[in-house]
Amino acid sequence: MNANTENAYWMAIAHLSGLTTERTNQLLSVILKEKGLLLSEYFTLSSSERQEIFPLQPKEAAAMDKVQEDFPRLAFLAEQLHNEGYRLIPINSPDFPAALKSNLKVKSCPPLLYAKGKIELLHGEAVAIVGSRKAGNAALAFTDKVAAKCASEGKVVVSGYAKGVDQQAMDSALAAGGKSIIVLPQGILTFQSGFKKHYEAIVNGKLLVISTFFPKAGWEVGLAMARNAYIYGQATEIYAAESDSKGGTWEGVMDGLKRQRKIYVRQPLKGEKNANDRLIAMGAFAVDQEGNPVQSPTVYQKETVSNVEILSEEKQEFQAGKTDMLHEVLRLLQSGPLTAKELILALKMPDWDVRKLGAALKKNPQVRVVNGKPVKFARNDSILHLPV
Amino acid sequence: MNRQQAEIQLQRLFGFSSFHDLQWKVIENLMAGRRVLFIEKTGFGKSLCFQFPATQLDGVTIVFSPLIALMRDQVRSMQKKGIRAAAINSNQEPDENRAIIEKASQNKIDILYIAPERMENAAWITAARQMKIAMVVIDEAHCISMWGQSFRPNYRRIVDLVRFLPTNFPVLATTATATPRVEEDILRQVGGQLIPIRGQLMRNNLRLFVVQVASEDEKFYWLARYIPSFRKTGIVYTGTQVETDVFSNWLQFLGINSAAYSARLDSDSRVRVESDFIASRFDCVVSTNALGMGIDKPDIRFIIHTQVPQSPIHYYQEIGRAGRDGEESFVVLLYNPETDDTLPRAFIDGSKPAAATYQRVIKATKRALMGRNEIIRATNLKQTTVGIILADLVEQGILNVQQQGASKKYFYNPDAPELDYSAFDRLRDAQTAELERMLEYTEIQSCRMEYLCDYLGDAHSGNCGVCDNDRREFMKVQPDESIKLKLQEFRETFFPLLEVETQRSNIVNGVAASYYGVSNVGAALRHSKYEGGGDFPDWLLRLCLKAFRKHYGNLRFDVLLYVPPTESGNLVRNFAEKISKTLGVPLSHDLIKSAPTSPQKMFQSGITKKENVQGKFTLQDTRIVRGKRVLLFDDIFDSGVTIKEIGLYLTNQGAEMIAPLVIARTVGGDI
Repeated sequence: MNANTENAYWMAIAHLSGLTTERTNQLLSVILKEKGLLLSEYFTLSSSERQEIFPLQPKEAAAMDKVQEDFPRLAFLAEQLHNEGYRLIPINSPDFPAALKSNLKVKSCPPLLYAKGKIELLHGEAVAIVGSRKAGNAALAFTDKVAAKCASEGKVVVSGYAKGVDQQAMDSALAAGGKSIIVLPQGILTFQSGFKKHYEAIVNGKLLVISTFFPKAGWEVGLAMARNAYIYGQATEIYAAESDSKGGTWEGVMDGLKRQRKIYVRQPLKGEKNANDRLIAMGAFAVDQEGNPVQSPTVYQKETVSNVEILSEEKQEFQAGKTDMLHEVLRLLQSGPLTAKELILALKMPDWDVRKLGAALKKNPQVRVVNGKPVKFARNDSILHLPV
Repeated sequence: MNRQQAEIQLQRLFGFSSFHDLQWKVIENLMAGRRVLFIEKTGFGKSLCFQFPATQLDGVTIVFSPLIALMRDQVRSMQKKGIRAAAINSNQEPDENRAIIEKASQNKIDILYIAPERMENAAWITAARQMKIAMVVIDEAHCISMWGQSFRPNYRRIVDLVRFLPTNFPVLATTATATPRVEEDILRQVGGQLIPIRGQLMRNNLRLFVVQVASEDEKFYWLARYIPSFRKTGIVYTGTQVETDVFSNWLQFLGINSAAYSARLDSDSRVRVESDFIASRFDCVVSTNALGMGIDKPDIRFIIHTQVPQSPIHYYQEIGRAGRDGEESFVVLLYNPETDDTLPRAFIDGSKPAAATYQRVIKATKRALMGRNEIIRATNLKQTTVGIILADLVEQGILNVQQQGASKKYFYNPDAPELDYSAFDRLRDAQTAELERMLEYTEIQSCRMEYLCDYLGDAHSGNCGVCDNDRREFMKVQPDESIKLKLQEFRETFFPLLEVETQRSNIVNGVAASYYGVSNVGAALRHSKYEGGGDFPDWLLRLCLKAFRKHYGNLRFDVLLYVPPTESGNLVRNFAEKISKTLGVPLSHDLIKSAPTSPQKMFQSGITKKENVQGKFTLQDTRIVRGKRVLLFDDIFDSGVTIKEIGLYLTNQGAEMIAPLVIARTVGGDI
């Protein structure tokens, strides 16, 4: 098999410190599309010639100069990856998943994927199933049902290989004869035990492992958080089985909502302690324990449904009278504390920024401040999960 | 840096006043960050072409070389000149290697030699990523090419590395033997930016001869007649491992100080023979082509082939080891036109296992992530077969090699292409064509060196003026009666050695009465064992006793044990009784199997054979061997695994010595 000789350059540019993902993608677009150059050709240019093609900030240009010294080292790494059968899929490759590009856009689409497994899986219709590491039985049963349904419909289940919901999603999809993609929270070379464990599924084309990080990077919270966006990015449908009011799932769904993604959240059973309701309140679609859209809402659900209805109304309402807005804030806070950012997002209040809303709420006697980072706001009289 | 400035540095660092023009051409290109393929004969000074730039470039120059001995010598001579050179290889202690890697990472080494196998080493790959690398050199670059026939899978990784390196990064590939086809293949693989520079391949200090013989015996006569007349020392290359044994014993029988060398020797013995050879302590070494690649000996005075090589490249490569010092050296091919093409043809035809065998390995690798030994167990195939198949499957992108610490695992590629068996057919056709060219060499009436150079792409070499055809001088075989008698006497008194000695066992090297396949002994054994022919005949007893006397002399033994049989009833026991009676060594029936074993010939590899017999033998009464000398008898010695296992067991029971005696030793799986 011939090696893609550009791989070392791709690694250099994908993991270049000093450039944001957006800047990197813009740069790549200019080099590859506008100028029609190979990366190897770009890197043989002088600093000033590079500057002409795409002006870099001094810090970015310094990083670009420095990375040149790394090429022999990166060549060793590229050779190792090639020899061990890892595929490098650059953003301009026909193998690069279209979903990832259209969902994450220039701003946050990873410029390079590392993969092991049947590459074809990247192009199937994909469903993400996410949820807490400490998810309860109801969430796991839900995950199992949704995964099995995906398998029967020929859809690929995408998950993040965390404990709890993620693993259940993969296991259930594979057990049902379906296909699954793991998006790693770490560099692909640090997943040896996983490759051994899931060898047969990978070899038989049922499981594909991908990573966006430097191949030697170990697991980190930061990477795990960053990888959530890629799980969502790869999927056309997103199911959340269970979320706390903070942590990876929460942040992930919030981020997804911000990107206007359609996210299905399992409606919690009575007595369950999680933040699913609040996600639903903020615009996620409620689904039942089988993953089907909720048909006959209970009284409690009516409340959340009505929230959603409000959300879809014209924004002007809040700009006109602050009282109504505050009313809605209080209604939202009934289900638990939220940050100013989350409130702005949920209520679609473009005229408000975090500071302004925070200041306003701090003055309001009906609202108390829950210390933390970032601070959250709660109702002074709030009793969690109490239907209005 | 211009040539004048460079030559000032050259004088200062290496003590030479100037470069050859061709050397400078190579160096100039490298210093300008270009890639060069340099094809030039042995002894020209190829090494300087990378040694000099290595001292001038910022960072470490990595030299991939398969020749450990050569790298050692080059490092030593550079160190003497104060150049920061070092080598890492498997002959050095891990600590020493680690220290050198550490120094290289700190930019304290200018030139670092490593074996291509090192690319399989995870620690090295990790370390290399920390180094500032200035240049990469691929020595013996013909190993890159499948068409070079000395293709080495490890070189594939070096080629990949070079392909990933920036295009303005200097790379030098050197070789003394590349046909235009190999050159083209190297250029294709490494990429278009490689600039080929060719020198001249003519070696007119080598005197080439071809001697046509009419029988195997005539080769024996020829060696007896001519070897004493050559200056010392040299190499006799044979076609098989057994022949190294036979010819070396023949030369010793004639009073010529000779040693046998082949891959069959353990590593200690190999190192010993190599160093004695380098120190010219032998008149000659009889070897398979395993000897030579790693030997840096400038004064090899003759190289004789008793078997025609597979191609003119092989031949030029092997004879190229002679006369590196530029002095006259003799190069002779003994060739029997009636029979001698059989072996290389069989080798070419049998070099690849059947397609179904490949599929068997593919199937196994799809089930679990396994290393080579696990695959051998899972498939019950020979080690060498599995080795060939795995290398081919990796080459075709069907398997990937995953490095986990020190172990290699074979990962099936889920996007694998179908096995392309036709690639092997094409390779076989190409190899057959090359063999035809080699056979043609034996027939030509014109200059032999010119023929070889021409074949290797050096079309304008002209005549060497010193080969048999150019000088019309030939080395004929003219046997007289006395040498014929000597050969007969040798044949009757030559007994194969059984090399079984190991560090942790008290077993000593034993003796067989004959090779299984090269005499009527095999037929007699077969008749008794498998065709119901009754006890082994008495003439075998006489032969065994003769072998015993020659090998063990008057050594006394306390007890005679025999290997409990798997399937041939009492044949071994009855024969042992006769030996016991004749030698007066008490026989014991105490050695038994504690668990059933399968016949060893069912198992294809050393690993599975070992597992078949491991821990399976026991003595009913261990007192009979404690502090005793044991003579251990068996009918056939194949892999030696059973005998070694018993040797180890008896050692653990306190036996002072275990001495094997068998009727026949097999020759590479002929039962």
